[in-house]
Amino acid sequence: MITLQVNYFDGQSAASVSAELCLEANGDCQLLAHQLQYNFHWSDAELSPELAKTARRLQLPNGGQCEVTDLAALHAMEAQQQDKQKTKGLLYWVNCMESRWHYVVLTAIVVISMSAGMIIYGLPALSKYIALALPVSIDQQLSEGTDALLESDLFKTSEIPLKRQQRIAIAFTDIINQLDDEHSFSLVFRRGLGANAFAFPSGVIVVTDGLLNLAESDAEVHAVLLHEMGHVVNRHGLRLLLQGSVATLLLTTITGDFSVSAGFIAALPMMLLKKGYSRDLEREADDFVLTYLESHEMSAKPFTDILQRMSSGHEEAGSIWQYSSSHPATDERVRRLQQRR
Amino acid sequence: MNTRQAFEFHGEAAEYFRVWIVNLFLSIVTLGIYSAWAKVRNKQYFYGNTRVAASAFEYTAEPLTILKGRILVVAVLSLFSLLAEYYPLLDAFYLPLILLILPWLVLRGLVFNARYSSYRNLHFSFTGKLLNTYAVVLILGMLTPLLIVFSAYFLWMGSRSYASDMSNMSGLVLGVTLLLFIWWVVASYYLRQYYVNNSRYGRLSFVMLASLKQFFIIFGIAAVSFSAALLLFLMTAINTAATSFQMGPGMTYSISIIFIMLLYLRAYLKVHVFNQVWNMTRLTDIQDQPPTQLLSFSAELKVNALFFIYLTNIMASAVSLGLLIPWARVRLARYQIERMTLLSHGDLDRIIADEKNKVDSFAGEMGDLLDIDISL
Ligand SMILES: [Zn+2]
Repeated sequence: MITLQVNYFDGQSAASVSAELCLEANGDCQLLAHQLQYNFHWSDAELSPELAKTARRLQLPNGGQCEVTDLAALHAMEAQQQDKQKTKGLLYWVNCMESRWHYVVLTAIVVISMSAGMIIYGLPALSKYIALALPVSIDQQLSEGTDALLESDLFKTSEIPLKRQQRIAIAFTDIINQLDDEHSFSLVFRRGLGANAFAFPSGVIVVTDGLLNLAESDAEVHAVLLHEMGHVVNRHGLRLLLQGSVATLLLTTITGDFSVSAGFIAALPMMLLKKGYSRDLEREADDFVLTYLESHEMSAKPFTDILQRMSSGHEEAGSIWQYSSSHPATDERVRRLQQRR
Repeated sequence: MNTRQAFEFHGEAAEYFRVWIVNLFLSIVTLGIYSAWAKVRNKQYFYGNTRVAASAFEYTAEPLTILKGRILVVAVLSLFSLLAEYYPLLDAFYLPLILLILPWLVLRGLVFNARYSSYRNLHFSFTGKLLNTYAVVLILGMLTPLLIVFSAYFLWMGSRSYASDMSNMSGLVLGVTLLLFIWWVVASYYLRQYYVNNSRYGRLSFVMLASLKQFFIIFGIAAVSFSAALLLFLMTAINTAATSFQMGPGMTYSISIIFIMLLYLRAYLKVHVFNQVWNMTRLTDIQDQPPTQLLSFSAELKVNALFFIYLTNIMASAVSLGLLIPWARVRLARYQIERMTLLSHGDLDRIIADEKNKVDSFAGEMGDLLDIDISL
């Protein structure tokens, strides 16, 4: 016979009665307290699953309930009645996992690697799929405000001779005609922001005087323009936006915490994520250049040349566009490009 | 006979971490099916570790019920969007329909959560009426602010056509801000009153005695000091940053300062509203003649302490990529719970079950569809 001190609640009032529960080997139970004696069979009572060190509850057939804090004694009772017990429930196994550190570490590793995998590989693949299915007109909407920005005092009118501008523009149109893409591309020359080129999702591509002065041949300029077109054709603006918003949503649902300023919790990981995402997109834009050059049996050397010159000259300080500031380390890019050849 | 009994919280961060991570793991590998069990287990952990007068709270909902409810919601939503594919006209009804159903869902959730929360084998219950819920949630909670904003918009559109007077404009902005502020206070008050006054424990009714005037004082002080602080900060920021359009570290710095100010505002409101509501809540047996007041509470949250917990919780959760969230939750729960005391003016044993309200099949069949939690 095993005995156990419990608190008994009759289900009729909030009175707490301290009682003694006695269990015989055959499963007969007796609850004893001041002015109370109740007999029942162990198998007719329902025991709540174990959860950390919280009290467990034995729900009695009469609607009463025993609150048990002596978990060890309760274990002894369960062990004694094991053969009469129904099959162990799901939550029994859950508790086993929770109470053993090596299972906990294992689940933690799985959770972390699965969320990381989803965020690093799953999400970019998904957003690429969605972005390519969406109409090009969305890119137009994403680029609202382009004109205002180009006319702002961040930029001055270009001082590149008109003749050279026209020559580059003709080559630009030539490339577009071969692309077979629905974006309406246009090329804009501006002075400011150092040696730089960037693209808006709508297809407006900006080259700065700094870049044109840095270039030693037209082929180098063409390669840079191709890189920017790669961003546009592959819908990088839209994809970055999709990835960012879905990642935030995912992070907040995983942590399940809408209350504790979830957005700010997600801010730091999001920053790191965005850096990683844009590095992948840069690689994709580089590959776009290579594919074009290869199909025209042209060398990739001008591209690597100007990349190296851009990075040795002056590293850009942070700027406001999605992909102008986040180019990966040039050495790494150049090495990659040379390997592909 | 008057006794004071402190609320205790026995949860521990390391222990809760294990419950939390196993919940996450099982939810992921079962593609979300386990999330119903996870929800129950999570709640059970916090309820079971909250003790007062030597007994713990208990959450008794069946995960399967919750799962059925979730499947139903997903099914209805996908059916609707599928139908909208074929009948584009339906799209226009989407928002009104959701607005119309929402109060009903809120009520269901409240009834369900109360019905499956218990203490000493007596369950809580929620007696809100549907009509009342529509008034509070739909009309006061959602339609009133929309009405204010829309009427201001039309007023602005109308005035723009004949006069583009700047003083007119700022008057309008001021008026709308004032109206929205009044709405915010009134809505916060009546939402809590609706929640508290419709709650029961056994045969005892909760009664909220806090007044609207006290809410206006709390929110008024908060709004005035927050606006003053914000204005002061913006003026100094403009003076120092001066001319150039700075996007770099200066911007991050300004955003962080404003964020910290907002967080402090949140802590301030939370503390004062929480203390006010709990200190002015009584549990009364209305079936006794005359009604007897059996229980009341004392809550003593402090603004600085709660702000510090909020701030460090957010930083720890962010730096640890979420792994310290369990620690943060346990810490917040411990602080809030352990600053509360139960005052009994009589014998707890006298609290008896509500016979009339015993069977509540309405709550049992579908569960909490929205996963709402109104926190005071
Ligand atoms: Zn790029």
